[in-house]
Amino acid sequence: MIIPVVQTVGLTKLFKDFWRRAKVEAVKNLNLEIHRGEVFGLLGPNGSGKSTTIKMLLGLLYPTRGQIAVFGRAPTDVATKARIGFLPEESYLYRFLNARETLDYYGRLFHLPSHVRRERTERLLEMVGLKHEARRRLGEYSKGMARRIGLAQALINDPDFLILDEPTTGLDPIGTRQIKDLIRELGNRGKTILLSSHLLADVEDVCDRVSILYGGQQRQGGRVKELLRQTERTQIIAPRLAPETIERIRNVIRLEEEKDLIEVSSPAERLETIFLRIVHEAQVANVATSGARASGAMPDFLGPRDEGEALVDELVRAADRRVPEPGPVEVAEVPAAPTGPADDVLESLLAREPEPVRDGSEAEEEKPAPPAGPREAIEADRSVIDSLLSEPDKRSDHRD
Amino acid sequence: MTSIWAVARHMVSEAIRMKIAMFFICLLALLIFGLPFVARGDGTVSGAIQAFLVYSLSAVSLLMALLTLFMSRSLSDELVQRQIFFLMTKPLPRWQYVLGKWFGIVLFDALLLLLAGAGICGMAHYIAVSQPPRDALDRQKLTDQVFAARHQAAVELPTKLFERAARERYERRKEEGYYGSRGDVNEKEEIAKLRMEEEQSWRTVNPGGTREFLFQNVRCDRSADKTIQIRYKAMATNYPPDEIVRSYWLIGDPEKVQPYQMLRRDAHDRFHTFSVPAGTVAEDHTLRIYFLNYVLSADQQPILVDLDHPYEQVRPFVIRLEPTTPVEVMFGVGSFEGNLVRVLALILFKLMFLAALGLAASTVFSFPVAILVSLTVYVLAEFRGFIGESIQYLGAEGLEGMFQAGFGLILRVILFVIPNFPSFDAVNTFVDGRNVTLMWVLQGLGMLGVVQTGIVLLAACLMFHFREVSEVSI
Ligand SMILES: Nc1ncnc2c1ncn2[C@@H]1O[C@H](COP(=O)(O)OP(=O)(O)OP(=O)(O)O)[C@@H](O)[C@H]1O
Ligand SMILES: [Mg+2]
Repeated sequence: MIIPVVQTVGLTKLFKDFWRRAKVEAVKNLNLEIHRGEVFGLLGPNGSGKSTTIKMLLGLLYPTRGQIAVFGRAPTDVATKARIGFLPEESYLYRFLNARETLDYYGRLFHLPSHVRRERTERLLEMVGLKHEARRRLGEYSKGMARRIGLAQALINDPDFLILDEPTTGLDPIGTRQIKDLIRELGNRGKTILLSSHLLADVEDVCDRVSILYGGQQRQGGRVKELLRQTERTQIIAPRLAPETIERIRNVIRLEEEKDLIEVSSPAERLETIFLRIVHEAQVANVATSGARASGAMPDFLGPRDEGEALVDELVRAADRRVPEPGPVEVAEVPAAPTGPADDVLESLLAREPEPVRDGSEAEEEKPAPPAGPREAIEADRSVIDSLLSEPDKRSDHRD
Repeated sequence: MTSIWAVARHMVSEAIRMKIAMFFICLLALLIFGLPFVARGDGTVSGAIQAFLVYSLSAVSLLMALLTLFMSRSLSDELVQRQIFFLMTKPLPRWQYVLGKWFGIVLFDALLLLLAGAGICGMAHYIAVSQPPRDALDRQKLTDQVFAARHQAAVELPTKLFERAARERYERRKEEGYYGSRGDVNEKEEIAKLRMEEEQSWRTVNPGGTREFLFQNVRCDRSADKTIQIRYKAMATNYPPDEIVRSYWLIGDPEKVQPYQMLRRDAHDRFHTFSVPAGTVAEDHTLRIYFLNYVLSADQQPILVDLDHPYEQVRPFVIRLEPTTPVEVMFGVGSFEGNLVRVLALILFKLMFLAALGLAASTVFSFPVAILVSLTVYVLAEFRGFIGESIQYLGAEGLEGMFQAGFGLILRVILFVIPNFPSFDAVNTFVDGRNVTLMWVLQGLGMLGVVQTGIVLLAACLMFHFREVSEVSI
């Protein structure tokens, strides 16, 4: 029998207060199994118990009920720790050490001989792109730089099992992309990886299996491919196509199948769909959670409507449109902008072109074009990154 | 072991980079190098150096104790700032982490103590060369009592003799019907009282009287140029008008060595130390000293050993040799530097305990609470002697008694773990130029450094072992 890297049975964590009264049930009856060589994603809204689960796997928290085995042993067993690399959700580094000293210290704790430590430190610093900043105290590092050091320390022992809690938070797009490539590469080399993330596109790209948590319970789990196959859709992936080519494809589909192309984009948003549906269902079913719930209406006190808000509206609507099946949209009651002579006086005083007074409905119809459409801007960004990285897109051809 | 060392190294580098450590180091440096220019003592060089040694060593002891407690902040900081997440997910057993922290703090303390010791030693010698001795006495005191580590041999009281005499007197009194028909005479108490009286009268030397003291085991260097010191304190019953106690000393057994004699005029009710040639000690390491309460003849010459002399007319003072050990003999056994190292070692053992204490508190409490707890224990340890005495008197009848007994038991257990710092404080001994014995240092190591520190460290490791490191401690 092959021992799974991680196995939990009925894992439950109750946070108690000082008087031992139960306060929060962060994880409820969770059964996980992660096999060797798998890239496993832990998804869920804020406060759904992802980090708590990870901390229990590492022995940083003790479960209230249930069993955990990591490499077939108790999580508190220090022997297994030599095979684990861990990146917490925030990088808690020593402000008074520099990057090299930090990595050296953690290397020592893994009992690595000094020449190995030195070599790996240099290689990792190079990998995370901080070789030239390695002499600075970490207290001076920016969030993303600290995050990169966190990642480097997680890899110093060449772990068999890598646990990454929201690895991409705080990273710039290039860093995010590098992490994704790294995870895929490590996965290819047979490492087991557990990652929690909110960036569903990333998870979809790199994970073999996912588990979606809500209120500490698993709502859905399984192979990413199977989860996604439920959609009645066909996706065609091709290298970058000219708009004319796309138009011709569109025509072909229209002629042959009498259907229209739904959208032309990367397939990134589809796990998002599932995720949103699951969370929405859990909310409708009133599943208990100690984490964040759906965010409510915008509070009234937040100032009167203005151009800025119109712009935000526009951005939100653009983002909404990218979700094909959104849950019921909660319409925020926004007070109409106060109109009147006072405004005009102000505007003329400020010597600006007076804007036409609009009411809410008009604003929704109208599209006062922002510098660049948000959608286009995002697309442009991607192409920039792609060209920067100048790598052949190998998004779909990995582990089949 | 490598993990403990890694954590310890890290702790030391943190301590060095921590501003609080810098602050303490500056304060220490200021004290050590500034104090000699401020405190000049009584005008003698020996006095100035002794004052400097007392102040600087006491300050080092106190400041280092506080610094050690503050350094345990490192552990609570790592819990609060979550660096512990990185550490506890490495193959680092928790007990090794606690031990590593402790070792790091102790190592840093040892380094600082070494620096402080070197500074103090250098400064003491600097004062000695920069300031000329006031007189011959000052010069002699400097070499014999300041830059010296002297062994102290106390005279043995002939307690058996007291006991026998007390018994005899008791029996005689009974025979003589002193107690009459009183049936309530407590024989034990009565004998104890009589024994006290015997001892008092032994300590008392009547005018013209002699007292002989025998010291065994005076294993000093008997070379001609060496000296030994005699320390005593005398009271004159009936206050002498000039507050001076006059005495005659004959040092050395005349049958074995060439005795040395001297007349002393010493202030009443003070300790006095004087040097005599080491050759007065016999080859069998015994030293006999005769103390005479001499009387002056009409021509101001002392009249010796003349019990039949009508002394009342000459000088009616009775001398009482006061402290528990009426006369002490001291002789050099070691160097000033070696003695300083032993004093610092005892301070280090105290710091070892405090480091364990601070860490133990930090494993359960957040920093402000932890520092409060450990400061309380530190203060208790400094006053441990008084507390120990006070609980001896616990004990009453009935329910209250049971409560008190239970309370007393708990207190006793706690008090076993709380060390008695003053009993391992060798600063005054050192400043007096007396030898801080290796035995004392070993006792300090055993009790403070091993047993009590061990218990507290064990508790720290256990508490930390069962602690969820991700728990929020507020
Ligand atoms: N030490 C703690 N004490 C008390 N409650 C806690 C503790 N740690 C976590 N919780 C609670 O447990 C629940 C799950 O928290 P957890 O950090 O696991 O969420 P998460 O899924 O990682 O969220 P996020 O996406 O925001 O990181 C939350 O309600 C949180 O308040
Ligand atoms: Mg989290």
